[in-house]
Amino acid sequence: MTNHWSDMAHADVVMICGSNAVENHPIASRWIERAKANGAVVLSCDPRYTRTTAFADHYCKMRSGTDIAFVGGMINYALQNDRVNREYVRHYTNATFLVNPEYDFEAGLFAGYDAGKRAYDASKWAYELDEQGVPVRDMTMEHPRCVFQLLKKHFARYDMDTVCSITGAPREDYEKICDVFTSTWAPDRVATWLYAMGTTQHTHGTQNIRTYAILQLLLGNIGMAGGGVNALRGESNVQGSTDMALLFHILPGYLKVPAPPLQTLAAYLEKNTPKSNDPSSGNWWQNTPKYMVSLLKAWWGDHATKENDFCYNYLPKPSGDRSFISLFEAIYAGTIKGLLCFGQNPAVGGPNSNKEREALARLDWLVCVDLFETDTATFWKRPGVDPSKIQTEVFLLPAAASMEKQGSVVNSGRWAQWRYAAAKPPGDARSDAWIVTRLVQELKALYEAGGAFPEPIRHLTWDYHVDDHGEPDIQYVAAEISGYYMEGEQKGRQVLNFTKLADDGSTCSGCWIFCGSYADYADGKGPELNDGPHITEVRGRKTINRLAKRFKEDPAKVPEGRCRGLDPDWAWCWPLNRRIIYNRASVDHQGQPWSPHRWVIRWNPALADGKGAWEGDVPDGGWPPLNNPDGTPNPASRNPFLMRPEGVACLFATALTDGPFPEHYEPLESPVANLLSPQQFNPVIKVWEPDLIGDPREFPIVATTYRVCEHWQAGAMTRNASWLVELMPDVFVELSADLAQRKGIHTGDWVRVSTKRGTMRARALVTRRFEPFFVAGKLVDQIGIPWHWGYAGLATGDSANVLTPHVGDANTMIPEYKAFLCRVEKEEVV
Amino acid sequence: MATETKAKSGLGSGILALLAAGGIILALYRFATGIGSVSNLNQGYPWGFWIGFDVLTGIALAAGGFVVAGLMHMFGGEKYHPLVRPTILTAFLGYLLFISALLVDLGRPWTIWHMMVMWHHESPMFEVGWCVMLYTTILFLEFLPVVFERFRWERLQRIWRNVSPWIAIALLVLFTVALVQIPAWIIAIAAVLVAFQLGVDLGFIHRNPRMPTMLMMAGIIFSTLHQSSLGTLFLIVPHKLNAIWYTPLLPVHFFVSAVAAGLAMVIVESTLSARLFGRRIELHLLKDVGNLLAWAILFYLALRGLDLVFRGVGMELLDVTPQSIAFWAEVVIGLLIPLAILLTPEFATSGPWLFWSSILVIIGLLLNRLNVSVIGITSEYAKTYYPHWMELGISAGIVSLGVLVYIYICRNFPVYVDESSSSHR
Amino acid sequence: MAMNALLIDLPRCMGCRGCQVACKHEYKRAAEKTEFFAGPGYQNPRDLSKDTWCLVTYNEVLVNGRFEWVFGKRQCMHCQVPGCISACPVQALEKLPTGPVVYHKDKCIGCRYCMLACPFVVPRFEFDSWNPYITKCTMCAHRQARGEIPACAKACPTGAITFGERDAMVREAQQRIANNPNGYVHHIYGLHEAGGTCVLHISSVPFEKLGYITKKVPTSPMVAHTEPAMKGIPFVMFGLAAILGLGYHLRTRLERQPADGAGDRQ
Repeated sequence: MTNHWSDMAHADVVMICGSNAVENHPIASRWIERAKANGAVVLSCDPRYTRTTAFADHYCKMRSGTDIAFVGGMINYALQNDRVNREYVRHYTNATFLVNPEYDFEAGLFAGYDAGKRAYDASKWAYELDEQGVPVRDMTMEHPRCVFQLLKKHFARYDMDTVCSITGAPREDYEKICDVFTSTWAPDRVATWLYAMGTTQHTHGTQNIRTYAILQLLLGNIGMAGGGVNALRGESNVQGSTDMALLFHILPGYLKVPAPPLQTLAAYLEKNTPKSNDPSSGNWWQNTPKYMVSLLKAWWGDHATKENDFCYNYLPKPSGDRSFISLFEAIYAGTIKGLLCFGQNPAVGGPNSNKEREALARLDWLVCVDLFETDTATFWKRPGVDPSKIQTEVFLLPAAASMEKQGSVVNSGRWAQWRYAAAKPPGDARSDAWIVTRLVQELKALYEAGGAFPEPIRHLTWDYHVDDHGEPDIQYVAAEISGYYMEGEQKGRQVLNFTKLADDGSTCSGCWIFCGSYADYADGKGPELNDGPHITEVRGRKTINRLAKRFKEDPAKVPEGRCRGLDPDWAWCWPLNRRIIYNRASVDHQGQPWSPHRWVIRWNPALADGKGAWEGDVPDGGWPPLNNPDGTPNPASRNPFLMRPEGVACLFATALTDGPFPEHYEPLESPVANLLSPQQFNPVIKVWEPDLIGDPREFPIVATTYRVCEHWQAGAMTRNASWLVELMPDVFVELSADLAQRKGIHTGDWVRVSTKRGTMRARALVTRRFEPFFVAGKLVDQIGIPWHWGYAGLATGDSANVLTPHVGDANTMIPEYKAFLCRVEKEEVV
Repeated sequence: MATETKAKSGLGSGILALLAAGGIILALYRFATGIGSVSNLNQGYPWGFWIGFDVLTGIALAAGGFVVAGLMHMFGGEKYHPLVRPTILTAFLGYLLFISALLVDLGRPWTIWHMMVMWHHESPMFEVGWCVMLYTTILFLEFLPVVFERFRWERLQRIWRNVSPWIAIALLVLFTVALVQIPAWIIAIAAVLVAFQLGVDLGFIHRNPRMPTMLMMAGIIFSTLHQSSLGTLFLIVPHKLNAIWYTPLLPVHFFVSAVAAGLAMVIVESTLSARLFGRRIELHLLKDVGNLLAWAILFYLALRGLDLVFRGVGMELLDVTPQSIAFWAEVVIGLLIPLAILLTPEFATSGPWLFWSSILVIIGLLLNRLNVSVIGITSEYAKTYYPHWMELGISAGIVSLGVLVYIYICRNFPVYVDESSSSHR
Repeated sequence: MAMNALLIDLPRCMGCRGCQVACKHEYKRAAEKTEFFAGPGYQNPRDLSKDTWCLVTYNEVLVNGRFEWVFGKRQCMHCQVPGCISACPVQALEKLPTGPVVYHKDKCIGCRYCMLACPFVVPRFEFDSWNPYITKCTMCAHRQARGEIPACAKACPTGAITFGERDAMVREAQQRIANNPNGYVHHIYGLHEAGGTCVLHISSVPFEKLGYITKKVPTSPMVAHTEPAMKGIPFVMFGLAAILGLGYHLRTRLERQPADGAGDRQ
């Protein structure tokens, strides 16, 4: 999220597209409701009429997998009707940048496509640079090669008729959505865009989000209170686990994973530290060396020295894709022999889960760490298999639930909040930290005796104050993530924030973006100096666990007009406790807010003894406003998007693998041909199983999977909770009355849903909430299946993921769960 | 002839005994496992056949007969005396049976005494409960002489004769205290009763040698209240009871129909017991009763008709719904056909015709009570209710048990007082 | 003490059923064995039950030709003058001055007259127990007593369930309708139903489309329907005693004159 949960209340328009926020983030609706009470209009765009739709003011349906066409049409609407915040776009985006003449777009492909590699050469999309290496800009935005004109040209093809024909959106509804949403181009009107897995779980998921970003930038809604592009994370701590690099392609704090050619730290830093010759660019990632070295120091402590490259060579340097799908392909192929499964249930949650269940049987050993005996832990005795034929040795370690242990959770709004154990874990259940510590101790002991490349384990820092019961003090972990001085006169002291991290080995920080979340008491200020459980003692020092702070802002002390809910002393928010990122874009060149009645930050010339200072949220870069009070540019200032080398936001982005602009392609399995180009699906995705793609003549119905409020992910927790099972006992398929009538299906009937990959049984829920789509001149049916069920637990049923394909997004490899083809038949009663 | 009758009655008793035993077994099963396991009662239909049949109909039939006999006894003179004792017995047994049925129907029957100490005078159910309790006590007092006579406990009988009126007064006053709770009324009612009894004791008012009049009065008052209070019970369901039956006059309807059914019961009981014990039917008395019955039906019909007209219920009766069919069944079977019979002179003096028309009236009453308590009730959200066979089984068992006890008592106690010994002692 | 009420603002309800689970959790009521769904949409269980005191209903309705998915809520309405209380012969039910209608299980005899009397068909009976009780929502009287709000209101994320003094809740409901006259039907369900209740509902669609009992619920308290008959008791008693006594005396006096000589007392 660029913004945060309670900030939604500030919006004039709340767009919920690609998310069933009300269903899956019920608490979000508290803030949406508050926005509504303030007069906001709520829009719901979804293939299904959901609980979110029931909560919304306007609804427009769209076929699964056509988001880029849908939003592309909105971008076109904004551009054609000049509903653009031109000042914002001119100065805070790369609209004015010229792109080099090699860039081109033809027949659905951008310049630089290599059909053999199924990849682009992104250098064809580079900016045109001047002699200093600074991009050339045309501030009039009229140059035919400037990004603004390229954008206009690209999206001109997304006219109303084409879009409605692709998406199946009723024209009247679609126009209403376009009109209401783009009305926020006015500087004083703000819209927020809420999305989730409905956006990301496509072969073009990243580009889906890009369309939101482009539209929000055109309307000037980024950085504003009540604005932004907001990913509603699917689990309470998904944000935290992403920050801490639970993914294969990043290290903590979004540092890049070393690639095999980068054998030395210097090579790594050279490759991964962006450079900018533009003096007005903050280019924050130029600090990468400090963050990388501090990370290595956190991991290997005193073993990491300048002389040994801070143990850089201990880091694995994987080649290629190690995402979820490819991991399971590797297990299936027999390359991976063992699997540690912490709180995850791939036998239900993984795509094409039949194959993943078979893959589990090819493991030598499997360790499941979970609250219940999950479907994954019982894969060897699932219905229809002979346990004696499965050789995998399976261990189930009982884990403590989140309420049974202390620790932090980072929510979608990047707030890291400390939680305490509310109850003791039952029986032998242990916290994850205990289990991992135990594992580390054992591995260290084993490697002491020798083995291949023992140092990374033997030298691993594990000074977390483990108690007599083997439980590490999780406060020590939090303090290390924040970081402290490892040498010098400040040795042992918590580092103030990431601006103080160093690349000489004098500091450590387990995740640089959290630096400053755990402070020395001596560095504290304001309410945090008050007594409370946030005052702790770590490594013999009096410290403040800022994640544990619980001080609400006094409404009477909020300056007039400032947005509510910043609450700087309620928990802690990365980076630097900044609640709304890109907030420098919420003000004009003088530092005055676009929307004075909900400003986030503003420049107050009277502060700091007349030198002026920012007030409000922590500004995204503390430099003064772009212009001096007399209107001349201030050379000491920096552009507002400091994480970009350009210093501005990218309408045209070179970093993605599948094109600088989003382009509509059909999902891998689609009932229709792409109306916009001959390129049927995303040209750079990897198709794992080409022979498992369904033919629309055989599988004519579009299907999507989703979650319901009553069940949680793969169901391990909720399908074992009787009160929730009562609400949602059986797996079901939702289908339109129209389709049901044609198939002779009634509510409650058992039906079989089949794809090229598998078949599942479910109960039919015939409902008016589903309607067929009129797409490209023909009627297309869509059904929906929640995927929570499996064979373990109180409520059992087939997992919808036996149907889903093994294919992922071109950039993130997230599986395409949301759009695939199937067939539905009524199950004959025997 | 005599052996044939005996064999017949032996077979009948055997069947009754089987039914009674079955009912007891089912009742035990119900107490072990809960009401749900033997009945189809559900959350939308908390009351069913047990209330409609055992309670509403049972009470109407048991007490109605007595009211009628009592009234006749008080105002009709000595000649009706032979009718009184059997109706006391039926009423007493009826009430005991009804109480046992109630114990089956109550969720927590062992707490029934709560009614005595946790007063809530606003509740019609409280009134019903108190009527049951006190009226059964009165019936017990009234039945005692039969026992005294059987065992020739004359001293006890004398004491009973002196004390029982005062007990009756005490109960009536207690009832007033519990239900009315207004001092002026309590004093007024107590004063009337005490004055009357003092009048009797001091010889100003005629003393009935066989049965203290105060007991009769108490019985009549309690059963009047009781009949009507059963109607009051359903005044609280204007939202659930079909407009065909729901009327603010429901208590009056219940009372009047109970009187009519009571008259019919007198005829039926006399006829049956005469047949059972080989005695002569008091046809001369029953003719009068039949005459009264005709008047009662007419009055009741007029009351119901006018009530429907004034409440504007018309079209509902002509729609074909389960409720309208049930209504017409109730009216045609229970009122119109017997009325036609009773108004036909040659039938009105015929024992069998009197008997069968009375049976129809009783069936009509049963239908009416089931209509009010089950068929006329529509409950939102709930599935409909049909009695479970075990519900019927328990009711059948209880009735069978009652009949067996009745026969036993009639055979062994001086219920049917021989005309010759009925002279004053 | 002021009388409290719950205000259920149905357009704010999103059908998450947090209230339903919070209620089960608060009272530790068992889950029901359900199969598939019990109504349109995701409704489960079918109805209120001995273990389900709070139920969100799902309704697929057409409003002005447009499809809408609307949620309703069923629970005890906590009447101001409750029918169940006037029905109960042993005062097992009680109206607290703060609003809740509470049940004293130890007093209950299990007659189920309260169930019959309730115009909203709320009280439930444990038919499958040998020692059964009535069960229903208590408006979390025990929580109120500790100064907390009812569990359902506490759980509601959107403010669809709010809790406060009844007068204030009525004003709030009126205000919300006045502020958004097109968004609500102009009726507060519970303001007059059954003589007024301590649970008030406002809705965007007519209440009958949500399965609420509307026409059949009288606007007077249920006790108003039995009261006249109950008031008649002393008249019947006094009247009968007097008439019977007098009538008997007069008849026997008439009869005694000729019969006297026959030797009544020998």
